[in-house]
Amino acid sequence: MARFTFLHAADLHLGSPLTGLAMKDETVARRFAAASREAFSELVTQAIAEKVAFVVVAGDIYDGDWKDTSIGLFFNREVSRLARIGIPLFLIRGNHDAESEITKAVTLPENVFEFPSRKAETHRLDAFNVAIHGRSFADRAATENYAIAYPPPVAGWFNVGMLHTSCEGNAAHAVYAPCTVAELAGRGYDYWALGHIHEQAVLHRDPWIVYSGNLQGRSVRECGPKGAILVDVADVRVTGLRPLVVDRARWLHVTVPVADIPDEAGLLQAVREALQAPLSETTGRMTALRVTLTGRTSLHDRLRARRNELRDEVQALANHVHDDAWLEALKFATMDPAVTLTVVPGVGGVDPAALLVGLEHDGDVRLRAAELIALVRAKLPGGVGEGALDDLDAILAEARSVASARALGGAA
Amino acid sequence: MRLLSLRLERYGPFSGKRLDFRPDAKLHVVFGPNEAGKSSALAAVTDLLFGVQRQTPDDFLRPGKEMRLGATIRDSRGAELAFWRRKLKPLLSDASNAALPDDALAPFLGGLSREVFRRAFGLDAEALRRSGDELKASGGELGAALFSAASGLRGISDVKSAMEREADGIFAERRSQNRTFYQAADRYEVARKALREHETRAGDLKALREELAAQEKRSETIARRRAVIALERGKLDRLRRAAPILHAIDADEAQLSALGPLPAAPEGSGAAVLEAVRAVESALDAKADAQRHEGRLREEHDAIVLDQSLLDRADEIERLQIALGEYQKGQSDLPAIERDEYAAEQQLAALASRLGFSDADMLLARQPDDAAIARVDDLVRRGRRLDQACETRVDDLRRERETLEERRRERGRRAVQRDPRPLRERLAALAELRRLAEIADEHAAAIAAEETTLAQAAARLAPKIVDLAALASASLPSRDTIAAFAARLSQLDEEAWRERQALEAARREAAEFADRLETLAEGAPLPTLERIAFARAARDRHWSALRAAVFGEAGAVSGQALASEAAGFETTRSEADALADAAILDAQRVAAYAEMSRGRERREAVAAERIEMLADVERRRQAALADWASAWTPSGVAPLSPAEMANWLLLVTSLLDRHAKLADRKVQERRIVRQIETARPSLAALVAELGLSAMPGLPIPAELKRAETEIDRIAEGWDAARVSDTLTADLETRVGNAEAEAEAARAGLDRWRREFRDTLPRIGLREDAAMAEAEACLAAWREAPAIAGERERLKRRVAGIKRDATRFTHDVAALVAAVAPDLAGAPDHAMRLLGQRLTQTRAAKTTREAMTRRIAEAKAATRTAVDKHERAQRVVVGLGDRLGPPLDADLAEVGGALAKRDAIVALLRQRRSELANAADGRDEAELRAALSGYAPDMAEADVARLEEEARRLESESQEAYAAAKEAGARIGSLSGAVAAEIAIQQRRGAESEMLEAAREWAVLSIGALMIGAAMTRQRQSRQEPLMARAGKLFATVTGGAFSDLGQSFDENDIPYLVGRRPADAEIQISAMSEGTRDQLYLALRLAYVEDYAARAEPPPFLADDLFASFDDLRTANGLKTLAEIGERVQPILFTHHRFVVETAMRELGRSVDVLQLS
Repeated sequence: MARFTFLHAADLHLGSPLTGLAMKDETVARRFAAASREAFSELVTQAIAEKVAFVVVAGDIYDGDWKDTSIGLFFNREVSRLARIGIPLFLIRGNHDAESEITKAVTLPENVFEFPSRKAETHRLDAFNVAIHGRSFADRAATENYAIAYPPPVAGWFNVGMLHTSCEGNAAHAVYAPCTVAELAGRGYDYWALGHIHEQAVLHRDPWIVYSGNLQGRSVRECGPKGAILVDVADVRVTGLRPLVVDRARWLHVTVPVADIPDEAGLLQAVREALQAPLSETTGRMTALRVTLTGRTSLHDRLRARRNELRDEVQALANHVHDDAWLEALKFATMDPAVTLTVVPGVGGVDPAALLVGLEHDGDVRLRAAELIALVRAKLPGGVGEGALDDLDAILAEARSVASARALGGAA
Repeated sequence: MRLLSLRLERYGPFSGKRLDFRPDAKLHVVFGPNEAGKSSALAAVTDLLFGVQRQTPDDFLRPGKEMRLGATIRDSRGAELAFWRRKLKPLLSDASNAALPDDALAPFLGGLSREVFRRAFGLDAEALRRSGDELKASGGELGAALFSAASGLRGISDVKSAMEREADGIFAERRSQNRTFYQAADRYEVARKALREHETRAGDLKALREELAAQEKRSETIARRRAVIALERGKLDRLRRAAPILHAIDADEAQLSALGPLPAAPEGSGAAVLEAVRAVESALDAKADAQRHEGRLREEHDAIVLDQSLLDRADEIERLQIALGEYQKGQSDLPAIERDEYAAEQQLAALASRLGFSDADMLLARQPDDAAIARVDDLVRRGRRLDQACETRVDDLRRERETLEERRRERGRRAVQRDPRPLRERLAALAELRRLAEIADEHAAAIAAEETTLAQAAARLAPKIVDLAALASASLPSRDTIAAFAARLSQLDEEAWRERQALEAARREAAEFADRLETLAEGAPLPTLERIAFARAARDRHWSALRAAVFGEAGAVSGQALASEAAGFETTRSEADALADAAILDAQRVAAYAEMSRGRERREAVAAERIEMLADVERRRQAALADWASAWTPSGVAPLSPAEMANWLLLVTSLLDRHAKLADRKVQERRIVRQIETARPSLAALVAELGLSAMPGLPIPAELKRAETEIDRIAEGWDAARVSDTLTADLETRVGNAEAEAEAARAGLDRWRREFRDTLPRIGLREDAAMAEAEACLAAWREAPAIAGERERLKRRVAGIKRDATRFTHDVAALVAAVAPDLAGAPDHAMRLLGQRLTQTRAAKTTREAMTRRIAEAKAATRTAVDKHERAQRVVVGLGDRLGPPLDADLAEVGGALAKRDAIVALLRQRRSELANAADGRDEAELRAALSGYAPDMAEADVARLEEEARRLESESQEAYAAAKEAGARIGSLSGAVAAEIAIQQRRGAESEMLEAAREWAVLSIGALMIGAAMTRQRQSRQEPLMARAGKLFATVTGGAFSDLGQSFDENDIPYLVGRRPADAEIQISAMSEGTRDQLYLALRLAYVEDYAARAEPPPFLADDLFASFDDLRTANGLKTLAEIGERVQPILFTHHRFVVETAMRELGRSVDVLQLS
């Protein structure tokens, strides 16, 4: 009975930065920048240690807008480690590296097989009776269903399909080579190694349709452990899936309800308690932490005013539990219980909120607001914040809410 | 909406309380003295209308579930609702306890929220006061003023500018390092540059790859060329090596052919022939040598002669030679031994004389036995020991006795000591006294400090207090009294201000009249009626004098005086006439002048009146001040202003509190002092007992210390005496012991003396001889035996030497006579020569025996040489046979030629082997062919050329290798280059920060903008009617001091509020008194409330002791103002001042509805 294990990874996004991290400490920024590389190195080390039969990478090795060729050389160096001990690696290009210049610039070692983009092909590994089917993509966008045109399975062999796809439409990700679970399951393969969705997910068992998720969380939207999947095969059947965690920087988002807390000391205590358990779980791993405070609290105005001090306090609290945790952002989603926006129409100045209501629709105010936004946008470097300040209505609404809060908060 | 009734069923301190509000009243005054629950009642109205909050301060009296409020309300259209309110569900229920929907009150409240209601429809004295202050701080800026009055929110301008300031800290158009936006922008720029610098483009990598390939190719080309060169070089080298070897081969071949025909013989035959011929020759020589040698040996053997007699007596000669040594030694030692013998003889004689004998023999005869000597010796040693011991004991005894004497004398000198124990016990009993003294000191210090502090605090007060104690018992005016005086004086100030305003106006107008009169008087002098009358009066005076003279009336002037009068008359008449004429001509100017003069007089009269009024006010003020001062007379304080004194009183009250506590402390201190006085005599008695002098006035701790020190001193003496006594007793014991020991020693010595005396004769001494004599005698006796023994030994030795010498001489003489008569004479000389002759004879014998052996050997050698020669001859003959003809030739020559041929053949073989090595195994014929075109000089040049090229290629090859390695390394290092990733990470971070800052700035800036817009809205909306109404209310509340409100503009065209006096004068808010500003705010607020009522269902307006700081007049005006809005809104004033109630009833009559809370 033939037994082997192979490794399924995807969405390496090598070289692309982690987003949202405004780290002023150069050393820490450097370490976060190295996270995706280190995660991949760790993946290769683990693959060698596990003596895997082969490795499949289901797209998005690089980011398309990433021009630095050195990352290609890094990838080459790491896969050469696999080549030296004879582990073959199969890869397809996804939406992010379809047009990557790096792919063209770097010649990979002989053990790496990249599927062509013209049509789906089959590659056979005689030693294990494994047939791998895959197709790369030539463009950033792929709207047609490629799965249906994949070759038929090789009878009696273990068939693996590789596809970079937004299977059954995942709203959080760009639509890419859409297909359905039923179509994939009906293909007759034993295992579908999918890429594109960054969350690890098993869409179907027997045949197995699996997203390995990305190697390294890249923003606060990608929290939790990240890595790849070890697939154990015996006698042409999948016998088990083993998640392999390799991420170097962990993202963590902790929401702390602070309603009914009367003072700042109590609030910090609540934050401390809320951080204890999740941070303990990431001990030993560099962690980017976002803390969001929610609820109606009388501290609302004070919190906004002491934003920077609180940031330092929360960072310190995090370090009490975890010495390598870094606060990515402290967000205030709190509301002032004193702020009331119920407005009696036409009663004028008795209710100050009534005076502010509707100002966001006032032509003059809108004009001057747009001028202000244009003023600051003119000072943004080219290409930065495309569309970030376009939501005039949202900004006006927030400004009105802040103004109301301040006006009412300023009263005795 | 109006409250018709309010039922405080179970709420706060209330149970079953019901308040009914008269529907036709314009103002409701709810009177509740302190503690009556005024605050709870106010809270009740809010809770009634908007629900009971989760955490209510009134919970403390009543659990939430019990709370119950009720009311009957009526809206502006006349709809009524009677309901109950609870804290828990159901929140609302009707009169029959049926649940009502939670929003059942909404139609009556017009949708107002609790917060808006509290701010806009509630007002208390403090909020009023602070709002008035804010009006002043903002300079009456219209937008802010109206916003504040309408909403009840203060500080809107501050909020707006705070937001603007905050926004400015984030971003402004002008770049600044302090602004967070630009800080992030800088970081962005740094990261962007770093990215550009560190990014590796595909082109870079391709260029590197190409460089690597080019260098590798270059290396290959070089390697190929180097191989060619190596080949060529090898060929050249081979030829250079082979050429000389081939030449040598050719020369050898020529030599070989020059040898001519030779017998064919195997290689090595020549050498064998030569060897055989040489062997025959050398064997012949060896035979001759052996024979010669044998003959020479025989001759030598025969030449050797021997003396046999000597050899026969050799043993005897050897024995005597040994004896010769001893003989010679005896002869040389003898004189010294004889000298020693004599010396021993002399010593014995000397010893004999020391012991008193005539000669040595006598001495030896009288020698005592060893036992006697040993006994005396023992006695002497014991005697010495006993003597020594006895002396030591006596010495010890003397010293101990001296010490004892010293101690006894000291004891005699010492005073009698006291036992300290009872004294200590008495001192311990005084510990309480010490504690009391410490407490007393503490009190005294604290009291002194507090007195100083209080005195300083009192002195710092203005007016200062000289004697706080006196003040404590004096009566001071109450705070209410002070407030009343404040109000009275403030009223007077206001009156004075009004009078002064009027006075100033009158004076200003009078001055204006005066100015205009001056203007009229300009130009030609004005012929006023006064001037005409004046001129006519002067004329008439002259005329009277003239007339008296003309009519001869009594007292008339004459002469010169008369002439002067006449001239005066004429002048004044024409002047009066001229004026009268001018008056007719300038009638209008004159009339105006007259009118102006009258106007001025009127104004001056008014001014005078105002001055009088002011004086009156001042008198009343003085009276008030006098009353004020007299209110303070009982306390002896000269008061400052009431406001200052209210403050002063607060401070004084606290000082008096402290003063009272101080007094308490003093009482405590006195009690302790009394306790101390009671205990003090015990201490005095102890001090006296200790024999210390009394020191009156010494503090108790010092006195106690003194006693303690003295007791310590006594204890010290006491202890010292006890130690001294113990030591003396010990000494006495020791003296006794020493005496006994000394006595025993003396007795031992006596016994010894007797024994010594008895023994002395045994060694030949008299009985009374001293110990030293005995010792000397013993020494002499000990020496004697040894000296006698030595003398005997020497005597025997001399005799022995002499006997031996005689025997030796005799033996030698006999020998010489037998073997060498020529040597007769001195025996030692003869023996020496005989010895030499024996040695020589023995040597000759040995030589001849050796010769015999060598001759035999020489004979054998001769035989061997002969054999060898014969064998060699046979070998030569054999070789000649084998070579065959020509046998005629000399065999040696033939052998030489053959050997030469062999040598050349061997050389050729070696050369060809060398050639093979040098030519790398190339064939000789091939080499000879290659050499045909070879020129050695050209070859040198070729080698040099090839070497040069090889060197150049080597260097190029290294360059290419290094370049390839460099390119390879750079490609390798790129795989680890992370700078670009870090840069983009940092750029992303900076982007996030910039966007966040930009958004934050936009929100704050637009927020501030909106607040500004809201204020503008407020200012513009219904401004006209509102201002008009507020102006009317202001007139009411100021009792007509102001007639209206208006607006003016500052230099930036910003409108601001002003008050208008009835005379149309505009008064800016900064110029208004504090009270007036408060009134202005109240007017604005009520105008807004009324305006609201015109457009929505208004809740009641709740005023909480609004007039707390108003004087009677203002309170009356305030009440009237509240009542003025009573038509549209229900004003409810809560107060705990009875005078407010009284004023309301007096001023408003039926319009007011007074309700009692308690």
